[in-house]
Amino acid sequence: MQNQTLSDLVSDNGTRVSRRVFGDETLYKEELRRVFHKSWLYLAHESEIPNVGDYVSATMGETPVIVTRGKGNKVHALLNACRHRGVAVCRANRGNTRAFVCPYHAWTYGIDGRFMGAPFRKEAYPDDFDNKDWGLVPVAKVASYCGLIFGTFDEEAESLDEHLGDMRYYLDVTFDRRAGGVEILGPPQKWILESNWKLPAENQVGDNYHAGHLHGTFVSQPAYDEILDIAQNVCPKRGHGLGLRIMPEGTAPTSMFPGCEGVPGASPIVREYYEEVYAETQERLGELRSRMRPLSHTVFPNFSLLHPTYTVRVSHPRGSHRAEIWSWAYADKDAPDEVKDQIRKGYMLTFGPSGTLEKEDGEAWQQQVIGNKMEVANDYPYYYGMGVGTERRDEHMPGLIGPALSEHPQRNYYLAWREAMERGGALAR
Amino acid sequence: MSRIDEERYGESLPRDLAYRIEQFLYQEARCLASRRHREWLTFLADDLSYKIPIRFTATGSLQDQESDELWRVENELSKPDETHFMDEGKLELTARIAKTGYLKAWAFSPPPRTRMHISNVEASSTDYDDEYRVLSNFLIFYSRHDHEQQLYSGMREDRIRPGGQRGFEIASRVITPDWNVFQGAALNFFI
Repeated sequence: MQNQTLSDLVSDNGTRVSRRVFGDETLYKEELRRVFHKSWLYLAHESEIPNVGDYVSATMGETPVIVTRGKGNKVHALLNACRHRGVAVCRANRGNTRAFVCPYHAWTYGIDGRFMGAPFRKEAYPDDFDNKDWGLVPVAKVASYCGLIFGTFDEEAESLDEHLGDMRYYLDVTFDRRAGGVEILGPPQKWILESNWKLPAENQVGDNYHAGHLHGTFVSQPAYDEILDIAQNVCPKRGHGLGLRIMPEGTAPTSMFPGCEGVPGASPIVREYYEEVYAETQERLGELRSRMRPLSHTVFPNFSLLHPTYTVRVSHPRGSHRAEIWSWAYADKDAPDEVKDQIRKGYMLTFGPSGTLEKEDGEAWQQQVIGNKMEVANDYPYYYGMGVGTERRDEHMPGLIGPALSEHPQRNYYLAWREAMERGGALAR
Repeated sequence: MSRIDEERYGESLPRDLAYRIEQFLYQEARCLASRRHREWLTFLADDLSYKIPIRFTATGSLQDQESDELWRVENELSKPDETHFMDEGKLELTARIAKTGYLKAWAFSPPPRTRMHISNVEASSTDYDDEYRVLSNFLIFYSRHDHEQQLYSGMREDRIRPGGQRGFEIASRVITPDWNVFQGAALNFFI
């Protein structure tokens, strides 16, 4: 297999994607190295670890890490494995501690990962043992944007700002509407999909198409028509994308809430709140961006957010046909408690494993495995050509802009995947 | 009533009353296994509060060592103002059930096969004459399509009142799930 094979997997214009991209075990192993060991990956939100000593567990690809708040409020990301024999040193999903102590021989590490000691350190260890060399393995780079903490294993990786690129312009619409930004409303819901990890990411990068049918008993025809009418698909940078409603100039502030008409989470209390803070949002985001009501986003490779239902999530790879989804609800930090409560409840009704909409998405993503496993059909690719050629530049906003039914964010998502795979060189046979 | 109250044993109800409450829970479980979802609503009070908190791995506090406080289950559950799996009333459950009634409601069409096994029923009195505290364990066998198959276990703490169409009605239900990562794609069944 040469790199030629990768262009067979994703065609040069992105309109054809091989089912092997989802179903091939060998490709999956390579993907862990070439995509997950190289990309910026979402870890946690800063509001989950507000105090020194706070930590949450996370995973980067299949690799368990601990995200901690160290002295001086510095955020650290550390591999969750003792340097002595590899046993996990953090055994809870969240908490506060002064040290991580390995249960096996009690090698002990600070909240910043540095080696603090081990039993018989003086008596039994040789002179050339240097504490500085034996801290927990740090994630090479850790950085935040709007409180969203990302990390990468690649020391040579571009900065997080460069990685996000013009996606930041659109992320601000969700996370920077108010001073203080957003906070996470509790622990994540976690669940298993017998599916490929890319499918949720691909959906949330800009699949407005599915709403009318897969969610047809939930999204009314007028609501779907409205989405298709006012929404556009945006690809701010290859790999990242979003669906975006831009309300006409002069739209009343009562219609600027993040949600969708008739969908839980759009209760009067929530709508009134967004109306009240609209002047602040206009001031912070400017005229055009304050009229934006995004739908769903994906940041390559596996971080997504759903603006109308107040959730951020990660699709973790657990095998070519197994993904573990972590999904959090958020709200503006300064929103009143009753608004946060309505947002939280609206989220639980729509997304997460008990969400009426998410259950339908999960069903589609799991059933896709049937097609992905058909090796006899490997010469028959999937079609990603909807709206090809309709994408264009817009002088008022960054990225490639196309109609709501254009799949250019999906095409560019798989082209970004192909580029990441190609950077790793030829595939071994 | 919002939190699991595992410690309290309470005074057991008279045998006849406890028997009738137990039968009520079995009828409810059979109603759900038979997919009579609309009928299930008749087991629920109009002012129902229904919660499934998230459960995670927590760590205890040093000062709680050598006491049962150290590993309190409550410390592993999301707090009342935090995200749950479900936290809602009868209105929302009614809306969910309405969504099961269409051929194009893809999360239920075709529906899963579920059977809830109820055990360890403890019915005790409360501070209110017309309200009982009923604990029960559940084990749900779940299967869907050709090969999907899971088991879900947990405990329910119910507040049950006399009244309604069934002789009793559930005023509140708080579920302690026995999972951390939910091992299925969807909670497309009712507990």
